[in-house]
Amino acid sequence: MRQLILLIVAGFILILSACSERAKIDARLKQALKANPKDLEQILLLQGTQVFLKQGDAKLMHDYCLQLNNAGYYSRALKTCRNLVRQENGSHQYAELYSSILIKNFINPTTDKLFQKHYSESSDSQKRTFGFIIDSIQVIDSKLAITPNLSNLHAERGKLLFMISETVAADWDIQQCIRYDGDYYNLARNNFYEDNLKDCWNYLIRYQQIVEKRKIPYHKDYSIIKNMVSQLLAIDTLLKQGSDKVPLLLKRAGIYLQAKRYKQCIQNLDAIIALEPSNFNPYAMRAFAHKQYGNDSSAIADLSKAEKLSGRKFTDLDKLIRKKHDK
Amino acid sequence: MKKVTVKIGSVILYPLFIIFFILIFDFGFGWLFIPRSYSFFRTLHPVYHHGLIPNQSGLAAWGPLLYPFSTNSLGFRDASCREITLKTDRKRILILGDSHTEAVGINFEDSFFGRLSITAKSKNIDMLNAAVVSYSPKIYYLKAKYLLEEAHLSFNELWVFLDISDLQNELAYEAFSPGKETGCWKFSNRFKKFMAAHSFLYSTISSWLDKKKIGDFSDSMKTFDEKSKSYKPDNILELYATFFNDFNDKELIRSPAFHGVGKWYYDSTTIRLAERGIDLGMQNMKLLANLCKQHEINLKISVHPWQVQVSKQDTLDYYVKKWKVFCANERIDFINLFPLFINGENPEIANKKYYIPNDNHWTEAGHEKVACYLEQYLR
Repeated sequence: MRQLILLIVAGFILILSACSERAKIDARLKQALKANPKDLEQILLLQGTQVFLKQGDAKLMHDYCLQLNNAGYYSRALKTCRNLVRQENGSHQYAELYSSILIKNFINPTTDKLFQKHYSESSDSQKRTFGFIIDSIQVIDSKLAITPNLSNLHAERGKLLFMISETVAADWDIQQCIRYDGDYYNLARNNFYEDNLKDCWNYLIRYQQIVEKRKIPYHKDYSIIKNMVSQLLAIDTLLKQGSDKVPLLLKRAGIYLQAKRYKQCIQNLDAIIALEPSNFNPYAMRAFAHKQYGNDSSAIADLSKAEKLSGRKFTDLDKLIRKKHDK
Repeated sequence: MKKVTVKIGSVILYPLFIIFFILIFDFGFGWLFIPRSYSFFRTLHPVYHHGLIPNQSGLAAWGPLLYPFSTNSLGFRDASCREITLKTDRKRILILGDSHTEAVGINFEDSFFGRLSITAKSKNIDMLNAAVVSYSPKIYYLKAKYLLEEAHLSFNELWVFLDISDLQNELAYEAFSPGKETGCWKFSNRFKKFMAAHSFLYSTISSWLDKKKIGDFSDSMKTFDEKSKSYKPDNILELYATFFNDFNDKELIRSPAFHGVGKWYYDSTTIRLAERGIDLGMQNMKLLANLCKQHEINLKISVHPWQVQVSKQDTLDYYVKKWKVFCANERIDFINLFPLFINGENPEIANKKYYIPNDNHWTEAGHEKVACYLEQYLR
């Protein structure tokens, strides 16, 4: 009986010693990698443990740095990589990894003391370019800290960030730039609605110059407004020169209709009707404008007049006006 | 007569043998199968809700990050397990804060406190860090009172680090009423910790019960994470859930919006929660300010931003304004750390550099920035 107990206890102690902490971690790491190589949380945790257990294992530290860098833990990756570089006395096989981690931490590799000490000769043109970009971004940062709404600086920084593939951050700066430059765009838009076409045109030109210079995207409605304003200005000039009024006024009414400025559209159509009362086109167009403006009875009256003058039915217009009116 | 003695002996011995073997196997299985705990140094506390166990050393985990963790004789995070004298001739600054100040995921020497304490040493100032995860004004008051009046710790300055998590924590601790730290409580707490770490049976049953207890919290927090496309690893989630033991509003716990405290005051549906949280926080900070006045301790209040606040690019937002006004009224020194992170830098880059991914806690670079700024207050 006593021997049996001793045997069981001895066996148990043997099992326990075999399953040391290290062996347990190795097994769990292998299992995690096999089961799901993308289970980053598990892998980082286990590799972290291994780094602590096996201080000095360069390969593991290198893998750990890579994992941290890929997962976005840049600050931690930098710390581990610095230890690795120091431990390996600046072995050149880590130069690439170290410089990429420095860039991710927004540190210019060519000015980093440890990088300079070990890899100053290996700093190729790409690293110098990246370093220059980082330095430029930091200069812009300090300027924006004093005056945050300088759109040209946002545009510059946005472009620089794009160059180092920081697209989300770059997009934020472009948005800021448009926000601040949007003042010109909004001024142009407001002047268009107040019929100050010349001022509107000037603001559009200034907006265009800024966008072209900074190579940032235009506002989505920019080309529509610009097209309308240029046509309206041309019509004004032609009218002043004494060209045939009716087609020009009809064109202008069409532009206002497109811009959903129904009051101005109706005014132009009124002028055409006064000049050519037998033309059915302005009546049909005015019927639609009245309908959109909310004058249902005027819309029906104009539609009837247009049908009478043309001697045909405007089926689609009729459907639109009467259907909505009946509702 | 001899036969009777043998029989009695075997009646006693056999059950003892069985118990002995069950214990051996239970502890053996525990050694093999109980997963390594990365929060062995954390404990609940009857006076100030929760804290750290004194003189502990080992590895802590924050999400996928591992970092060495040590506590001193007072149960404060420190560079190593060391003895702290309750009274000192040097000027002593005590720091109170939550997970940011405890520096989760960060080695002690990289934390802002670790860096500051080195500078402080050169200026003959002693610094202690009493911060623990999920602390908020109510706990700051209770812990400061305990340290001053029960533990008789002496210090000249108290720095309190506040952030928006306090809004939620204040609601969570509203129903908590402090008890007494008796010998019986100490023994049962130690026994439970020991059993949870070594007994397979005890650990399995207690972890099953704990999971059941925090089920609602974890489920709704996971729903919130899915909705907001954020992610909290299980170890963080479980840690936070245990701090909601005294919070009885089940409806609120099940509401995913409740878990997005970072956006409470930007949203008209949750602004009331934010207001309630800040009111409670101010009541408790008033108590703390009075306590400091009684003990002639100079109080400083600091506020720091989360990622969401850095993205908003407002250095004087709702939260900062509230505490600034409070400090002006109470004549307390106010430190605003928002401009450190909102200073012309692209917010996406700032968040990437200074905050752990998908997390509101600072990276090594973030801690360095805070330490450099706070050095001016060491005098």
